[in-house]
Amino acid sequence: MTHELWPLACVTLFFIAVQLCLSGRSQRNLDEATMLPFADDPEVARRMEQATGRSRTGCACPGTCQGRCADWQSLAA
Amino acid sequence: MSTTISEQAYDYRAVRQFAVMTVVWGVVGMAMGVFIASQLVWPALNFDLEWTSFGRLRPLHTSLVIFAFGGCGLFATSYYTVQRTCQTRLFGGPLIAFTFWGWQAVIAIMLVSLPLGYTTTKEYAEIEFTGAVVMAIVWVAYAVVFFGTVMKRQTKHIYVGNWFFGAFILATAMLHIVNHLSIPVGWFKSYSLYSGATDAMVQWWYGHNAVGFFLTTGFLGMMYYFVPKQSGRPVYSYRLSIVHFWALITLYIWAGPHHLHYTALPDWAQTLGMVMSIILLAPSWGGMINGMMTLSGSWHKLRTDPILRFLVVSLAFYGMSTFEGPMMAIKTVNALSHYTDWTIGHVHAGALGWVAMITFGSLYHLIPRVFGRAQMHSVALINLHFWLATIGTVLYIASMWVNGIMQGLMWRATNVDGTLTYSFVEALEASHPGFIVRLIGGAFFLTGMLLMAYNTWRTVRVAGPAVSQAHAQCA
Repeated sequence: MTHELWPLACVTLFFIAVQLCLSGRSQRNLDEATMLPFADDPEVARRMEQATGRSRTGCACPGTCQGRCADWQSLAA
Repeated sequence: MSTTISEQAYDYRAVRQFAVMTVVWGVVGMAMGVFIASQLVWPALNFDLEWTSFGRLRPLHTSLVIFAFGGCGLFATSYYTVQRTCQTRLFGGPLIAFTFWGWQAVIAIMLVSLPLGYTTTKEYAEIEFTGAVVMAIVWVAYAVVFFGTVMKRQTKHIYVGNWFFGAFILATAMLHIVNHLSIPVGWFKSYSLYSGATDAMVQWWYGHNAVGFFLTTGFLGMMYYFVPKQSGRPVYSYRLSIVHFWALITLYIWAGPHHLHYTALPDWAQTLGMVMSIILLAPSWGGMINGMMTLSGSWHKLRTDPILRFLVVSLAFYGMSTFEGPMMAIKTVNALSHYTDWTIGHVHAGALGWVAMITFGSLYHLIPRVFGRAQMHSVALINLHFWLATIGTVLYIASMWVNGIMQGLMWRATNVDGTLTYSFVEALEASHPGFIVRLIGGAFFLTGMLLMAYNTWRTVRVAGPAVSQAHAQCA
């Protein structure tokens, strides 16, 4: 019986871990984390912004991004 | 999160040291592989000496490529990545240098003790007691440096690449310590604390997770940093990377028993290992697809960027070997493939195609940056290296597939009266052409590695210390 419980324990651990990591995270939060490899490398970050239209700061502002997030809230509204 | 460009210098000393030694040990370890491959073609190359026999040099080859080449590559890239994504210097002061010199000492112990015949006889864990203790101490220091750096980060988030590096460090420590629990009877002789089927299970729990956590999770940490950087695109889906991480962590640890199909291991454990291995395909491919899709919109760069080519082809081999692995874990497939060269081919699809190629791509990205150069000395040589490595890998794994399936079929063939159709030696003779092709493939791969060593030397040689220091200012 205990043998069958191991896979169940795995699935439970997986579910709880993913929920803890992702639930309650806003898109902006995730974007911030996504952009971390570019946060300290302005040259690559600039090229990335031009190519993808996404801000290196992870502000997820709509449209072609210039890397400024000051007006993020008004754009997102 | 602070995303302003900080002015503090990163600590690249250990990164530079480990990067150079990755290349050095890559040459030595792969040359050892080519030598033992040639011993299988020409057995006279054993020289009738116990120190140069295949049985002693094969563990040295695996130890050198996994722990020396792969290990130094992981140290270099994790120290580089954790600083840049945490925007802080490495934590630990003298501990950082200790991890470098300590790790080289561990490799030196392997280099001397394994040819002398000091071995635990446990695959990928052959290093005897004293060496294993030194290894554990260095690893704890590594964990302190890495997690200390994460803890003093200037950023709000811990980048997902660091999650993979962190899991690799913790799991490797656990696996190494549990598998090496033994009673020493001398400096270099010990007896395992476990016996019989338990010993085999612990060993393959370690053995498979050496692949799973040392050779997969750590290198996925590399992938999640260097693929976005080199392609100039953020990772395709951060959510998927989190799911990928937890699924991999949850599943990999259970897959070890598939190495012990049809043995004295309880049948339920074998089946558990098989089922977990098959399920493992999902997170493995999730990660591979996440890496591949990161290149969306920048596929054209593959035409001109051989570094990106290395990274993408490594992901393709990762996808291929993580499909092949679960298939081979199915008991009926394993009945054909186990103990044959198919297993060797599978291992090298992962080792050459995934581990080595992602390391090459990452180092070609990293070396110029830590040595203050705009790029490697010769991009053309990187390109040549790429083709040599790719052709070498394909020759290697194709020859081993053919050999493995042929061996499996020959071993199980029976006559109508129930006797074996072929003797073992007949199967060995039939394998000889495959051994030659494998040697050629290995030689291709080693030639590429030598080109990388030359390219690295030319890059490093012209980079003066002052330039390096200046470039270490948060580039």
